[in-house]
Amino acid sequence: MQTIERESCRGIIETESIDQCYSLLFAKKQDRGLSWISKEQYIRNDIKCHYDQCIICNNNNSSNSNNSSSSSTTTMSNKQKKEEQKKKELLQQQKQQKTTINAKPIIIADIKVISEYLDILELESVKNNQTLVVLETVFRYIQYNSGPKFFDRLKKLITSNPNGDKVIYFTNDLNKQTQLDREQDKDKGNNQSESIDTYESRRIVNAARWFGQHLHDQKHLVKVPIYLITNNDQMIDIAKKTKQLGKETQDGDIKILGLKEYLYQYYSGNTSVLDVYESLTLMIKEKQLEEQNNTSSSSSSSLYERYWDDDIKAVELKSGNIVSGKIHINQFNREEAFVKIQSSTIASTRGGHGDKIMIIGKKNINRAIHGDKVGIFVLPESEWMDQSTSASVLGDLDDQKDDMIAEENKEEDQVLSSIQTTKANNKKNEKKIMTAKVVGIFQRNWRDYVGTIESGSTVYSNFVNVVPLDSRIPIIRVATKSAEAFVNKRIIVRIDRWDLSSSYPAGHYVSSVGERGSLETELGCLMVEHDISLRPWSKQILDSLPTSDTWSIPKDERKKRRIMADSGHRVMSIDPLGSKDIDDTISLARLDGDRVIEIGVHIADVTHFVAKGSPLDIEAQRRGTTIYLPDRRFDMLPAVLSEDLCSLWGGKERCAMSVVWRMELDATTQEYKIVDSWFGKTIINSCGEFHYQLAQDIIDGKVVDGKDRDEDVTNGGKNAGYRNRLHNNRRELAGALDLESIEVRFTFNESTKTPDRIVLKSDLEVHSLVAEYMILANAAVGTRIHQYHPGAALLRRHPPPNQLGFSNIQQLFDMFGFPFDSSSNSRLAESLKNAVVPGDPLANQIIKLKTVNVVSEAVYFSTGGFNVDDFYHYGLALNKYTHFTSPIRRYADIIVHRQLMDAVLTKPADQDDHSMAILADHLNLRHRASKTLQREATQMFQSLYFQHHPKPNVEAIITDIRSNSVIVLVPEYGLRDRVYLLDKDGKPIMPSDDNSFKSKIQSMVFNETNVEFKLEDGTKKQLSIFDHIVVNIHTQENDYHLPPVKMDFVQILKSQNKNTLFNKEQVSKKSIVDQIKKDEKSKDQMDHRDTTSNPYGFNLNQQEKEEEQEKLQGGKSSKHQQSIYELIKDLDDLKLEKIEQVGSRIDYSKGKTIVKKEKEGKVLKLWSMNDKQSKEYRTKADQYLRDAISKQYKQQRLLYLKQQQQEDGDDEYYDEEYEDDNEKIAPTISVKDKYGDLISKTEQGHLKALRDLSLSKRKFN
Amino acid sequence: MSKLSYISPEGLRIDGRRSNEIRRLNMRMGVLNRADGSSYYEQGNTKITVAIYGPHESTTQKSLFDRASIKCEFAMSSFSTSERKVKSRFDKTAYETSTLIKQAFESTVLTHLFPRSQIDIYVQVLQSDGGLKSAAINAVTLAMIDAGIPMRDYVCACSATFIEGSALMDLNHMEERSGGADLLLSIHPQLGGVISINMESKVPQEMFESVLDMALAGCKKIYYLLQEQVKKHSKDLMSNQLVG
Repeated sequence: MQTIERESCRGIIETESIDQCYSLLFAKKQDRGLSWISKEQYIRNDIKCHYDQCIICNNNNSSNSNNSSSSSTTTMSNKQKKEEQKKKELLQQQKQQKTTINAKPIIIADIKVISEYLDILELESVKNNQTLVVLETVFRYIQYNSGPKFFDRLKKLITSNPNGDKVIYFTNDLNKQTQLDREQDKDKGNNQSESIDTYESRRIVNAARWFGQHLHDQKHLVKVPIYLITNNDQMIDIAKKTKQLGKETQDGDIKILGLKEYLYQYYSGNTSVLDVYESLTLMIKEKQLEEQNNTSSSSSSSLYERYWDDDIKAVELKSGNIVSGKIHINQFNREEAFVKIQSSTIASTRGGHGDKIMIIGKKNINRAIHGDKVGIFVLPESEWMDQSTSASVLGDLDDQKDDMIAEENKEEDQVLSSIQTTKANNKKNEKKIMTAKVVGIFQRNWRDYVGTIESGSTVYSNFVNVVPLDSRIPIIRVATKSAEAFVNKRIIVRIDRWDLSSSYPAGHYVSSVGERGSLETELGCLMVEHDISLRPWSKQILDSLPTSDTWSIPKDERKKRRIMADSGHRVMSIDPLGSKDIDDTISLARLDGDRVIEIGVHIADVTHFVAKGSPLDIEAQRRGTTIYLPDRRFDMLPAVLSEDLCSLWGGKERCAMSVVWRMELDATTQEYKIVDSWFGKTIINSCGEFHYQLAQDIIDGKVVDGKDRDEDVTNGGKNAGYRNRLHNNRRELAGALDLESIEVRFTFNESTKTPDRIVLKSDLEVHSLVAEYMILANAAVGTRIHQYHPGAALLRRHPPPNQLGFSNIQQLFDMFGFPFDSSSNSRLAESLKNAVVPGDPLANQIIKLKTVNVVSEAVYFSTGGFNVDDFYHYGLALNKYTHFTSPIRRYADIIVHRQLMDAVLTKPADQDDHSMAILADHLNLRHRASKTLQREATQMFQSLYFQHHPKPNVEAIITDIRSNSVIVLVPEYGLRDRVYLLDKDGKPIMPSDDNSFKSKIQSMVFNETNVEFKLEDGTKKQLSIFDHIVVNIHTQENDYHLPPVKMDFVQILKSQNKNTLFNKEQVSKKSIVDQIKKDEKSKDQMDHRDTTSNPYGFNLNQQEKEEEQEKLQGGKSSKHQQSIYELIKDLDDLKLEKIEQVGSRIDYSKGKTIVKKEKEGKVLKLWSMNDKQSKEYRTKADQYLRDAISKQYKQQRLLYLKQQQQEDGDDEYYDEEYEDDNEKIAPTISVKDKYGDLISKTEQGHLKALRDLSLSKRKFN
Repeated sequence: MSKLSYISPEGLRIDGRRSNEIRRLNMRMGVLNRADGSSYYEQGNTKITVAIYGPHESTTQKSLFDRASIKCEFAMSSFSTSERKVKSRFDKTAYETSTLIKQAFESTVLTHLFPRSQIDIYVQVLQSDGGLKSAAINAVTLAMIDAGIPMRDYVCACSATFIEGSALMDLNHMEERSGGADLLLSIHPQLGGVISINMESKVPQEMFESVLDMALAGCKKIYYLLQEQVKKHSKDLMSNQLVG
């Protein structure tokens, strides 16, 4: 805005730091003519330069902090003393550093440099080697003249670095020393004031000059070169002129440089920086040329329609003629897109087609890119899509839905499901589908894109076409002079603009990820696509960490904390085998002769190590969560903390945050009830870490642990008993808890893709035991922090699902005739539980999987922004829930810990709803990104695996029917993909090897739940959901994307053969990963030798052999796993019915004494074993286990039967059954069989480590 | 153009103030000759004149037998806002503000000293740049003192809001329009009582407290400056008398 008048004002100003006040008058364009706006401007004298080495400004640092102006004089003098001291220290430091520091240049960039070359300034290598000064003039200009996204980027650049050693924000226009009045234009001699541009240039030059003088006046400072970076001739003129006129002759050290000269001077060795510069410059030149052309020639040649003007757009949007929304491009056809609209808008009432509008064709999409917020204009009804053409389009949308099956973005999912319902409606009503065209963009939503240079394009021109990894993004034309360097590489590009006459958007090169096809590159690409950037831990952070050898709990902490061992608590942890970050433990204490029981949940006290606002805290917050990928893990906290000091290892004293419930026995009902919950910091010493299977064995009385502390061991068993009582107390939660286990299933399925876990592991009682305590702790903490910070507590809510989405699931239930009720969460859980197809356990899983898709995603939120009723967690049926139990791997838990501690110490809250809501959004985003990354990484591994090892004849189950294909689940590999039954021309594809298809297929009909085949010889066949088929798995070659996994239909399996599936070994992901790595290594070696023979020949053979072996073993083990599973189930049933009587008679010490005899009192510690020892130990332990089981249960059942017979002579039922079961009770199983998969995993890990070691040695040599 | 950001990375507001600074004050007392008491008050670009008549005999039938009644009229000049608008005298917001002022001073003026009489307050806004209500109350306080009407205490008012994660004191027009949680507080600074506290948005308690603290600190600052002005004015009067 242009200032018309600026005059000084009189009056009293209460602070001394304001020097002068001006009243400004602006003219503002309004609907009717001009209006005058008056504003004030306060010129200050307390502005700091923020340069980290500057002593003058650091002096004012603490006294001028916000909100503390009313501090009394005495404290002020104290402060001043302190500051003086500080100053001295700084001086000394600097003297010492003076010789050592290699000073980074300070650069002051002008408006043009920042708005055009921000990419360069954002580069890590550039950022770290200079101090960039962003002037207020520049900042304001960009705020008023560029889009919000660009402004946000600039803001982020400034705020990401509060120390002021990389980027400085300098307020020059409100600073007494650097502010300038607008001058009358002297050259023209008339009364006009100088142009805005000159005024801006003058201010920038003046600020730069002041900056130089300010720093050079300080003699103690190292002489740092200061540059004013500009390409603007006018500015250079001004600078020269004022220098001639001015008195300031000391500022010889400010140099004015063009960006190009600057970069060539400092980064001549760094080609990546220069590449980016070249690419950007070419872009800008091109743009200028285009603009010239545009103004001279008419736009008749343009491919696209011009966007509407902003004012028109705004008016039309208000009147409802255009609709705004986010555009979603079809993944399989970039010429189709849709926009989801609000149901309240006018357009939606016109058509009545649900809440989406289709946009068909390049021209109508009009340069919008996936994710942009666009304005669309609904086309006249005559141009709407017909039913006939819509079928194919909607079919494609079905495809899209498919790909979103696991997508977290339920919003999109619901849109698509509504499209489906619309489709159904359309069939009845024969209505047309509403289409529209894009007439304007409200907000671009561009990000960094990963792409590959198109293979056909000539690398010698200035432009190359880059095909993005994300198929929804169009090909990008990238300006570069060094294209040949990027061939066959994945590169990161940014889109700059999309001209009317250009068929593709134009962009520029940012950086290169690496050679395509390699594991590391592809992973890197995924990380860029999901905006996850993981730098190594900075030195500052690593230096601040305690070392694991020397650290012990400080003495004053001991006084503050409750020591759990003193109050009789015995602590243990149960985690999956091999986990290194143990963040939760459970403890139990029996007091007052079993009348009172205390149960504690102790969580690693991460906040003890991660101080609020510390560099580590900021970095952890940025990461948000630990990301687990199939072969690696990206930690949220450094390994020293996550694997050692925070991790609650057995036998070591650790700090913890605890929730302790006190339960008292109710004399009348004989039930334990929670009477008190205690929250606080504690010191614990865990007895040991169990893995789930071990813990379950202990509960079941098969004591395999060799420790001589029998209480520790039996604790687990007794806990289980209490759990059941607890469970009964809260029966209303039972339905809800079932759903929770689906949530677990869901994550298992999405992240690990190994459904076997569901069958075997999740059903262990211990899993629900641990989970239930953790949920209880989370809920208790959630309630507590909400009570204390009602306005800004970080909770987690799970909104109820959209009932519309259940219609698909209803169909599945109808197929089998199960009752289905989704009206409430407990009823839904009940329906799911009952939906078991006899003989096909996978059917239930598939039903649950599909239900998970309907249920929306749980999110973090700040309580200030929501109504209390909306806090509800649907999945867990809890009113208040939060995340408290995994602070090592989730940042949300750290916040909750801090809030809980505030509540316990009744400290005032230091966070408000606003910042908490922003934080919650950030964490939700991080979680979603990490989940999608996990899923896509898994897909990537599968793709790489099948690329080298295509699999013929694999059994699969149909889960969905599409318009030209079926979706199948391959349980063996956890793979879910489509099998095409029609080829691209719509001709049926014959199953390649099925004897039952005697003649060719004449036609196919795709219904909602089945496909009907009609053969040429007249016979009919049917394929419906849950049918089993055989497929071939292989991949398709693709240069630009990962080779997609394809499946070919081989034959239909008859129902008798269905169960063969369960005898097959389930390939663990680990082995896939290992195989891929092996391949890569062998490839490298082969490349070295430069052989012409098939590099995979040898390897493939080996792999096949290995796999055969694995299959043999696996086949056996899964059989026995099943029998064990049945055994456990038997026991479980028994216990549930007669838990007190039977359970109490199990002598837990039995197994232990056997072990003890053998070991002769030697205390075995699981946590101190290495791999070899633990293997040996398990071999032995398992034998005892076998003996113990058979002995115990024979005895018990005999006892039990005797009792039964004594009590009731007629009861012969048990008698028979137990005799029959005798064999099953003591199955002949070996360790290999029982812990087969676990051991093979550890072995593989061991082998891998050895391999890595030898490899590194070789390299070293 | 990007969304307006109200606080710069330096921590300065759009006009260059920090979050806990009030605007420039410019005050004069006894500016109108015919009124019994008058004042001219500038708080930033908000400019107000106040005239007070009374205590005089009640002009209406509804005089109170044991104390004086207070009448207040609040008027915006048509040129006071950036767009020229002719406002009716019975504007809702004007009525609201006049009621606010009336109630504030009914509880402050020692009305029982003037039974069956009336005090008239006329507030005229010359230029409006946010914080109208608080500025009007402060201006009336000065005019009351000029008129020599006995009061229990000063009445000081200040507005505050919450934008972009921090509480701001003494809002200008732009900040008022930001849609934050605006709060208007008027207090008796010496007696330590709250006269009125207005807030129309729902906010969490912690946020409310920080806004309230900010407004309270603003009132105290304004009180200090008003007091200085009154002392200065009295000194001027004294010296004039001596000269005369």
